[in-house]
Amino acid sequence: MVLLVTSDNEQFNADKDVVERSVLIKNMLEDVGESDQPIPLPNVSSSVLKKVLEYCEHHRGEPLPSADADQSQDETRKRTTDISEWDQKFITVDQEMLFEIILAANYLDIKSLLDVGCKTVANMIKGKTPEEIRKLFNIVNDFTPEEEAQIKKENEWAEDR
Amino acid sequence: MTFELPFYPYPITIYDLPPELLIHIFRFCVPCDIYSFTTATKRPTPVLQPLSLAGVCRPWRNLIIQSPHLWSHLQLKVNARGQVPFVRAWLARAQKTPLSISLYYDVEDRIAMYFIFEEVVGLVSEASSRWVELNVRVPDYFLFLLFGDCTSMSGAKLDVLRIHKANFVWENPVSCTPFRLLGGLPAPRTLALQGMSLDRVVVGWKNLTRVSAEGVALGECLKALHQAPKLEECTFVNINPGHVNDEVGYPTSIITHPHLHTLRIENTFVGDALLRRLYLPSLQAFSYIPISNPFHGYSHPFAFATPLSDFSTLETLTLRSRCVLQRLSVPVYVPAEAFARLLDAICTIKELVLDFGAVPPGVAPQEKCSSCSFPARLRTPARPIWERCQWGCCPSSRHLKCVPESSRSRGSSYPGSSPFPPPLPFSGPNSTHSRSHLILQLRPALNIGRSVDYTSRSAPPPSRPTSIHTLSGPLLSTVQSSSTSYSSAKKVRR
Repeated sequence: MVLLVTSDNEQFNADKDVVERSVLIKNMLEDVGESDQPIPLPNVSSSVLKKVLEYCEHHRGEPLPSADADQSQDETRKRTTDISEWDQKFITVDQEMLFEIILAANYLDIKSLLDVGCKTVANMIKGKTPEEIRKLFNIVNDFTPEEEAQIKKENEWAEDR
Repeated sequence: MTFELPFYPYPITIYDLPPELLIHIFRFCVPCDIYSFTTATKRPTPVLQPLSLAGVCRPWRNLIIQSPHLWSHLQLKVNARGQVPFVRAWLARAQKTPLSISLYYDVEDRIAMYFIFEEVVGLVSEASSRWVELNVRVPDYFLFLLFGDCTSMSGAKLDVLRIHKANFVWENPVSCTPFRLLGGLPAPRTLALQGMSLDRVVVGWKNLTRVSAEGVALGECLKALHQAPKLEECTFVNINPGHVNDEVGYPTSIITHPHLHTLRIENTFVGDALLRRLYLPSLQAFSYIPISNPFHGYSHPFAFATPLSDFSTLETLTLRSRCVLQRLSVPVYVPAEAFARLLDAICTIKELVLDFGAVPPGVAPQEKCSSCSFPARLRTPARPIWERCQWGCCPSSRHLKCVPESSRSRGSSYPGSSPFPPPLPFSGPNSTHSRSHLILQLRPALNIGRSVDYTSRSAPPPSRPTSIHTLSGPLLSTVQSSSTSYSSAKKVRR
């Protein structure tokens, strides 16, 4: 068992093969060797770590993506946004939690979870106009009217009219 | 990609994502397969994504414009002179990234269109050393404008080539303007042609693994199979017999193709003639879709009068090739006796797909099976086969247990996960109809009757599946069968 301490000082005990889905933790464990020392995770809150551990528990035992997997994926140009049924249910959370999971997955270096989070955001973006995207994520439109007119014109040429 | 982040005590928003994570998200937003987006969709089209995203806010715009890989897919319906600077800017933003290009044409004014197209294509052709995928849907007399040089210095090479000849009036595919690049000979792995003769496309054949051709002559099909030694999947639609002179230069003997594992023939009268000329030891999947009834969108009951009239050609092909045919997809209007004979002869078939064509509109509820909701009217023509399967495997079952379509496992063979490249989009009488299919996973135990001599075959009989799956429109039915049920069936037969 491995003891993890979150940013809000909560402690989590988890199986080694579960937490080792995080490359960060795996490397730490390899560095320190056999030890009862807790592993501090200052960038992850307890509510987020709980979700992350739930994901790791479900995907326990699955092969970890190799370091060059992403590269080969890019080479074959097959970046789909398909998400498995369980992952979809798992990632059905509010926006704040979604972004926290993405940040935590990035920090902990859990590539599959990072992809699930990013694909979810991508699916929210797809098919939407800039205005709809701004509204969805509460983004301020900081373009000048002139810039906006230019962008609108640029988009018009690409439209399937 | 790990980095230290401060802990945020306040609500986290998309603003808190670092640029590399935003780029990671944006990469999922741009299409991975440009061809899946070629059907006409109203705005915003997926290929607009980099532009849509760049129009959200200034930080996003800067980030996106500085990310060349987000601009690697360009899909454009060429229809206005103002598109020229737009295309120039797009290609400049892509920098040296390998490019997927799709160009379409959709205006009435041919002359004005010509000059616009020439300009756009000129820009695209200048970047031809970076083409990895090229899809064009234009009149054939525009093709020569694509003067690209595929002799790549950047490591990219044209891997996918799709040409859809979109002329105003029908013209003979053989007499159209050829597609020929000025520099180098492209050797794509995927080639899809519509309305264009295979002979009019000057490409290297040695790398081709997937070919889809529509409206080609029989001789061209044979030549394609003869010239492409690595071919694995082949789709021929609307094969015509061709003029007798067209056969000159085409292979006349039986074509042996060692790697072809999937063959799909659609809408043709010369299916028999093609199959008679082939020797396909690796064939695993064969799909045959007959000529459609242009009035109702159903499979034409007389379609079998000409092609694959009694399936003996297919039977002979499989026996001659000693292949292990496992998946067979055919329409429902099949002479029951001929089909039963085929099943007996080719006992390696594990999966059988029967296509019922479009579901007739207004099928009354009472005409549906009370248990599985499958329209009774549609079952009628299949009854000889249906009863045979039920009788052989599950004599006590009157109805099949239905499972929702969502339960269908991924990787099912038909129609969503076709092993073929997606067909070139075209509108037909069937396009608006929902279709229903029957998929049976067969036990070889069903193949009672005529015995097959395996002693002369190199491959042993395959293992036997243990269940029947029936897919009927939105429903999937499963009947588990056992050896005991088959034994009891034999007793009933006696």
